[in-house]
Amino acid sequence: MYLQRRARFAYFLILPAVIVIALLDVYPIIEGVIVSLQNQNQMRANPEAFVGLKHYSRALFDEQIFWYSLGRSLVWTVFAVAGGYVVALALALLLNMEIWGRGIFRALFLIPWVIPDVCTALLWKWLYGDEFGVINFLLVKSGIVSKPVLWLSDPNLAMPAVIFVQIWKLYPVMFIVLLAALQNVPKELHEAATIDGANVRQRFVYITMPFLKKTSVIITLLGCIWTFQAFDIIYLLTGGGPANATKTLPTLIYDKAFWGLEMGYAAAIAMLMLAGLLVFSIAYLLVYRTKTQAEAV
Amino acid sequence: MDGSMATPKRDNPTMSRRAVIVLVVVYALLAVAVTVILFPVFWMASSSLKPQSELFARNMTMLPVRWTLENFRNVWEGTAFPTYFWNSFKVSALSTACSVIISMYAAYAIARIKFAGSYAFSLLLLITQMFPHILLVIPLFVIIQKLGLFNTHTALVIAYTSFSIPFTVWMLRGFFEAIPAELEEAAVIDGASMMGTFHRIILPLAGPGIAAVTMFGFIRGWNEFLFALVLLQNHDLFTLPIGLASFQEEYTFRWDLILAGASIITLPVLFFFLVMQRFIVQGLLGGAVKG
Amino acid sequence: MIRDKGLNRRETLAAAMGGLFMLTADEASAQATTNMTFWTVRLNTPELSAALKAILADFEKDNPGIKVKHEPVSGNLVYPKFLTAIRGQSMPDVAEAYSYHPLQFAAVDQMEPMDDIIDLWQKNGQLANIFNDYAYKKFFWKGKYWGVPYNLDIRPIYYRKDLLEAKGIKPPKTWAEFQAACIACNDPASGTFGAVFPAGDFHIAQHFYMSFMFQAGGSILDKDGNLVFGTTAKDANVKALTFLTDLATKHKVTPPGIASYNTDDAHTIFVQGRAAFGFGTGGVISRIMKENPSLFDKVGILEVLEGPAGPSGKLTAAFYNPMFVWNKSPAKEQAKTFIKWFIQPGRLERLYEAAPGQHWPIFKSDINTPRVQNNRLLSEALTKVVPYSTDFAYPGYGRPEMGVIDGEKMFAGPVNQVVVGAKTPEKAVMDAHEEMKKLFTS
Repeated sequence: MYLQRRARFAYFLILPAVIVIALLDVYPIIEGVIVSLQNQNQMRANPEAFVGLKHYSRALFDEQIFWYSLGRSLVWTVFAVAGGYVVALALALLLNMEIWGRGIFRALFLIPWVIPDVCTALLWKWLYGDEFGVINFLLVKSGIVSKPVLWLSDPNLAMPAVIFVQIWKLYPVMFIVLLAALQNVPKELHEAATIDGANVRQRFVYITMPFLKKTSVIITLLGCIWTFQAFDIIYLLTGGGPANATKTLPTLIYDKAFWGLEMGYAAAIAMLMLAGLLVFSIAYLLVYRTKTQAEAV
Repeated sequence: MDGSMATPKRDNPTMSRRAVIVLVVVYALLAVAVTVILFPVFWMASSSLKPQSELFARNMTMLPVRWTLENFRNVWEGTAFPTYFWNSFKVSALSTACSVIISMYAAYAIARIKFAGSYAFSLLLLITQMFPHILLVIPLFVIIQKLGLFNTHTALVIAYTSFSIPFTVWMLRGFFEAIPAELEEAAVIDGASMMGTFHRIILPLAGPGIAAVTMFGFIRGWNEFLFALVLLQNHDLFTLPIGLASFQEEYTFRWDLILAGASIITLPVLFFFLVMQRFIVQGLLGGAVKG
Repeated sequence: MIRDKGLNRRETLAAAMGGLFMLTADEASAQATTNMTFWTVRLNTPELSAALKAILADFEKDNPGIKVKHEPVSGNLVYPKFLTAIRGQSMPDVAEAYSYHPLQFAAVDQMEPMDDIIDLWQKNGQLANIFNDYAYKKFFWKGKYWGVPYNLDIRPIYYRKDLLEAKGIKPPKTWAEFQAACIACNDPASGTFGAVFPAGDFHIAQHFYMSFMFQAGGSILDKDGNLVFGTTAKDANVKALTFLTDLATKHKVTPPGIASYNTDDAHTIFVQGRAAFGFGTGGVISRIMKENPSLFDKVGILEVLEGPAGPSGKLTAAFYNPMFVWNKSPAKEQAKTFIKWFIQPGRLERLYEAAPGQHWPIFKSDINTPRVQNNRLLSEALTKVVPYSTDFAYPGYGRPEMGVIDGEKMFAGPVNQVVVGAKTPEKAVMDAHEEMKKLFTS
């Protein structure tokens, strides 16, 4: 009886959230599916004509750009999230020590998080410039390089350059979450291991990491989701160039939808992107679940 | 590198040589990290205070040679930035309030109550974060228009609320889970209603968590660009990010105005964060994202 | 030459008077007032929007029943804005936007024909007063005019007289001379590059290739509007692309980073005195005057170059930008009244003064003013560039597809890809052709 009442109470509590999500998140997605099956070329008459899977087959089989962009998106996501994680973990480990001033450092390390995305992109564009960018100015002046590094103009450097910006933007949230997890690691375990003669590396691998695993899984998953669909930073920094070197799926979708006016095609690409994300996330969660279950046994 | 390895033992009055070296290395690393991470922000501030002629000088100086507020004046007086500023504040604050209120009940439900569909609901929260916003724009626009809310701040408040909810619920759930269940059980035994228990016992304990998600929500609203662009038509209603974009033209990219504008946009959130950071960090550390 | 102080006072006064008048007019005929929205993509910087404000105040004074609400739309974000507006049927009553917007919007039945305005201009002689027929013929499609031109957007090549003189070089007139001069003046060690042009993968970076295309005898369309970019015009187009990109890849006379430059980045390099030749828009003139006035006397504008096609190809890309009216606007008639009032000789003088060179009048009579006569660079642009200006659909007229070609960066792409060494000019041209073909056949 009590449990039933509890359950009804729970439904009552989640109802507003469900309504808002259904109306403003789920419904647009359904609408997106419909658009992806329609002609929806803003240059042509009869945009609502049903075209079946035409846009999907065009993306998957006729044009290389989808697969190419997917590849770019994967590079962008994997390196940005991995980089963000490494930076976040390193800083979290440093600040998990009881040292003077850790509160100040903790706050300072979170600052990139509060810088608005549009400002972040414009700011880095300003920093990366070949002639008027301060990074190149400092590099040349200190004699590290003899002529400006073409951060955004060299197809081989543009992707690392934008990934660096995303790492800058992404690591603070990971950092604070990992720091929280680290503080839950019981000190006694470390002390006991030290007495048993475990070295720094062993303690890290066998004591710290297992405690961080659960948190790490979730935070990297969220990091992947955010990064995979991030748009502003790349679009404002490189516009997808040079020579498509940074043409990730969101920039492709934007160009197709709003400059190419092929809304239906763009929606199909977005759906493929969503499907990829779903498969990835579910696989990730399943692996994570079976692992924790196995450990629990 | 290990978390507690380098902890200088408090009970050990004379530090070992090793510990001192470790400490020096740690501070050196921290100093390097702070410099690298904060330099871009410093450079934005410094550049925005330079006169236009210095922005493109061949010999750059870290600080302006001639300090000037001219760029700020041009943005603040030459465009409708004061209006954008107020609009952004209003929209961000309202949408944050809405999303936090709606989310905290939902988060409490999935954190504390076993009910059929709770897993499905969590999954829904995760999935809705995945859809690229670029493609949500047009359908959402149609919905907003059907509701008769096009070109109103209400439209933005609704949109931002809906995008913040999944993540906010996800975060708050962690905070609620961290609160000992015994507290609640005691209250129930004392005859408190379920709602009363939540309001009087659970919510006050989640204070720092609420602060943290408030910051998240506020920053999200403050930064958002694409939806503000299409859901608002009227210049008087623009928020800061689209205000910043609106004085760029086809071929002009005015760094003097952009740098000052970006600084103006950043300043309040930065200030807010630094003032509140103790509270917010405590909140983030307390609950954060747990499995 | 530089005289914005007095102007600002005048503007403020006009705005204030207009505002006062509006208040009184409001009370008198409140029920008869029509409110009209006017979107702009080019009049958004503080300087220009202040000038526009004064002009709009004048309009409202002349037309007490109409109020114009100016809404700036960022140049980069025009499409999301217009597409959602079409979708939600909340288009502006009147707008000024990119070249092919009226045709693109006409293709989805959103545009009001402007034939009556063209007729009016025919009768009152305004049509004959426009520099070039393309100005309005480009908006003719399926038997009607869908937009009317209100400004001209030119693409001059600026050069440094002092640097050329120091080397004893005369201003180049042909491709060969131009290339030689760029190479001769290139001196990166002392901070000056031979030439600078934007080659970034941005929609706005691509127009400079078109001029060379015409000069080589190439084009995108033929005169009937068929796509010939990679067919009959291919050789010329490849030649043009090779010539332009060789400056960066073979002769290395450009700043090394041009592959991420937008138009404004290239402007900055030139305005800062860092290049002997600079490809730009008319806006470079006002930037020099404002940011580096000492450079003004050292700068000249190059006469349009003669390329492989000889004198018949002595052309440069330029854009007559349109104003257009939404066909479902309740204030259609008022919008047209506004356009007729707005696009008249002498009317936009304040815009031209607010940012000299950035906005060009479309009327011949508008250049015979002290503003142009007293500004050497404006005069040079007028005699050396404007007469050779043509649209990028040359020798055809407009088609809606041109908007997508422009928007999807089908020209920026090739320049960008060749400059970074990802493709040969031939491959870049052929790939772009394939892309465009899809557009014309789908």
